[in-house]
Amino acid sequence: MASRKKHLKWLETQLPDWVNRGLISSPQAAAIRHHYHDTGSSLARTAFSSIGAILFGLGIILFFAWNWDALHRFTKLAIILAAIAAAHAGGLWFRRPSSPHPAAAEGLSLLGTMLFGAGIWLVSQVYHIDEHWPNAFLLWGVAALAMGWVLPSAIQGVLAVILLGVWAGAEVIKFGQPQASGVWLMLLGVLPLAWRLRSRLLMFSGLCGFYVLLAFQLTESFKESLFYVLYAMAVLYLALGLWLDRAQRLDFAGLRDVMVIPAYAVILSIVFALSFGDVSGDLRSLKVWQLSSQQWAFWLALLVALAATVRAVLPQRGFDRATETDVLQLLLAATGLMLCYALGLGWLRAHGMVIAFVMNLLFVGHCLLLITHGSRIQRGGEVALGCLLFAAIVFARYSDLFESLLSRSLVFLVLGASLFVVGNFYSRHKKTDAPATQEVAS
Amino acid sequence: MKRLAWLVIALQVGVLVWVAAEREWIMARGATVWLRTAPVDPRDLFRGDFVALEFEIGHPSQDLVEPLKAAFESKYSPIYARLVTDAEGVARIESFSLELPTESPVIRGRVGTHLQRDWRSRGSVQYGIEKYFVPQGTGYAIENRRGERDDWQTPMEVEVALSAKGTPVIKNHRWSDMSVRLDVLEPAENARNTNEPVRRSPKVRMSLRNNSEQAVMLVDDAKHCAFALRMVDRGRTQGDQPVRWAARDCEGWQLGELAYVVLAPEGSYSVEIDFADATWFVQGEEKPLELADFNQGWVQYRLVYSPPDVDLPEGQLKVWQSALQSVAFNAGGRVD
Repeated sequence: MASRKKHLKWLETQLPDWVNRGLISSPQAAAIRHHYHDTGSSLARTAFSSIGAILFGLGIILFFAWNWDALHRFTKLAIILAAIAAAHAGGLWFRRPSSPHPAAAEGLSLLGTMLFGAGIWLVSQVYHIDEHWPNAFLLWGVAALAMGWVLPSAIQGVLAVILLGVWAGAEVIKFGQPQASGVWLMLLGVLPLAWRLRSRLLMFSGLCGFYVLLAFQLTESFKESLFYVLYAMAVLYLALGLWLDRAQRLDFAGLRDVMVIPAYAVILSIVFALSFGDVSGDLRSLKVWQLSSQQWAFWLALLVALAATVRAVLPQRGFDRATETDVLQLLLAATGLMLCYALGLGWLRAHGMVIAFVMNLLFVGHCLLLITHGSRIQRGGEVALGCLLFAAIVFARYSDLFESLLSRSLVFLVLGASLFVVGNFYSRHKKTDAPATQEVAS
Repeated sequence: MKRLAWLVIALQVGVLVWVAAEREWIMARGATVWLRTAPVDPRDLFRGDFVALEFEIGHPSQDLVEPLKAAFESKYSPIYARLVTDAEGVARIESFSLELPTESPVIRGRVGTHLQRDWRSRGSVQYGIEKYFVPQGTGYAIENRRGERDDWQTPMEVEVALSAKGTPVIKNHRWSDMSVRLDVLEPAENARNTNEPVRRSPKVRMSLRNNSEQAVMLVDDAKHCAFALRMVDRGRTQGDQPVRWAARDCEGWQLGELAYVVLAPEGSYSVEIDFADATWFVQGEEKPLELADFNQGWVQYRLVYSPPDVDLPEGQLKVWQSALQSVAFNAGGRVD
């Protein structure tokens, strides 16, 4: 958001100059100004009306749960059904092209879907239905997804991801019944919708939802291989994110981030956990013969992840060349994955502390890549994240590796010096990039 | 696309209308039965704005489960229960089937607690009506009426409408004419390091009280054969053997041996049962056992008043002929 504000400010300074030079006309400048400012405020309005709709819908659910004897059951049902129809009708009305309040359309449609959920719970309360309750979330989630497609609406899709996540989670955690259909709903229902709408929020939600639901699905029957499959999936996300980012004709801004962020969250969490000696020592306990019927998932996940990694690195027509940072990021991620597979299969015999040492190196490598990449493209957030993660691994080792005060002081010296170097590196890139930016502007 | 949006909206409304209309139709046209709920720990009964119902028909006896053992080994298996009504108008299960029976009334359910091969629990059935939603704040009143564990407990009976396919819909509730109470007179003691004998099984007293405005008769005999012991499915058992009294032959009651107990309104009848006494031993696999030796300590039991069918001439007092069970307790005398 800060970056957007910066760009808008720059645009404001440039527009009069462009008009003076005759590059664009005054009406065109006004249209450009209106377009960018309107998009920003429209997003804010949509966000507020969506949050309002969700809270209002939750209020309705609680209201009907409380107010029992004051209203006859037919009255309650009539109110909720009329409210659903009215909210959706209002949403469609404000959605027409000539509507002066298009942002209200999203909020009203979302309210309609929330009220549908309230209706499900109300009917089950009125008639004392105590059936398999996760089904209510499935029905509600499918309704939200259907609305997402027909309106079309990204926020309805996000609501569907949340509801389907609750459904699949309840089926596994409460009833021990993994539902494969949840994974397919994410894959075939949510992700294509996100692609169609070019919605980063929905793509991010859908990818996270797909990942979590896949984990739920594998929890029961693929218990032993779950860790490896999920690790491989994260590497796959990373490879796909970096690969698609290089596509020259891909009309989906920000796709890299929505795939790389969840991937990195998983990969760095795993590598960080394995940087502790006692955790990494446990990896050696898995033997391939224990996997039996799970072998195909175990191997397929690895093959797909490695194939995607190779694909993301190799040059290809229609794609830019992979940057050094991308190649190194993938190399580190794939190395960690293969190391875990080799240890799990018993192909590599090493002491837990040795594995932990390698994992520490991999983690530090990821941190350095985040810092250098962030500095090169001048993304302060990425640099800060790299620094924070670096500090985290240093302090983790501070607590379990070092015993003397001298060693401890060295930790702080190394950390302080590293951050000093990072600061210099970042500002040097900023200075280097500044003339180039000015050139482009003029 | 706008047409599709209207179609989805119509589907959303339609789904809710369809579910509500089906229930309304069952309530208006379906056969109705009364189902008795078991007295359980009140702390488990009231959650938020509903009362959790534990139906007696949800815990079928072993002889009903046995013919469909395979179905009961699979959790959530759909199952149909054919119901019959006793003299008090309360329904009980006559038989289970996997297909919809031709004779009604029938209630459709799913296997809840399933039988397991390594440690066998008794199968239970859930009917999808185990929550009775009540107006805000009124749940406490129902909780109080049902009673505390160490006081008189009055079973709640729920009126349920049933569709031809066995879909149940709760319509109403009422209170049983008879209250029940279980007092632990002497609980089991912990074994000491001395040779002194200690009580290992409890002595309890089960009491029944007439809540109606007219006198009724209970049926029992000198051996108290009207009182049975039932194992609750909340624990591991050593097998799926039914709990049978060892020392008292209660097979084939004769009318002449029956004792009739007249209960005036508010009148009560009590029976003391000492599980450490050989009279109240239960039949083990090889020999009679006191309750402490029959199963592990965490298995729970209920005492059940279940009188035989009697047919008295008109003009006599009404005989209360329905089964009534106590709160659950374990072999140590700890009441649930």
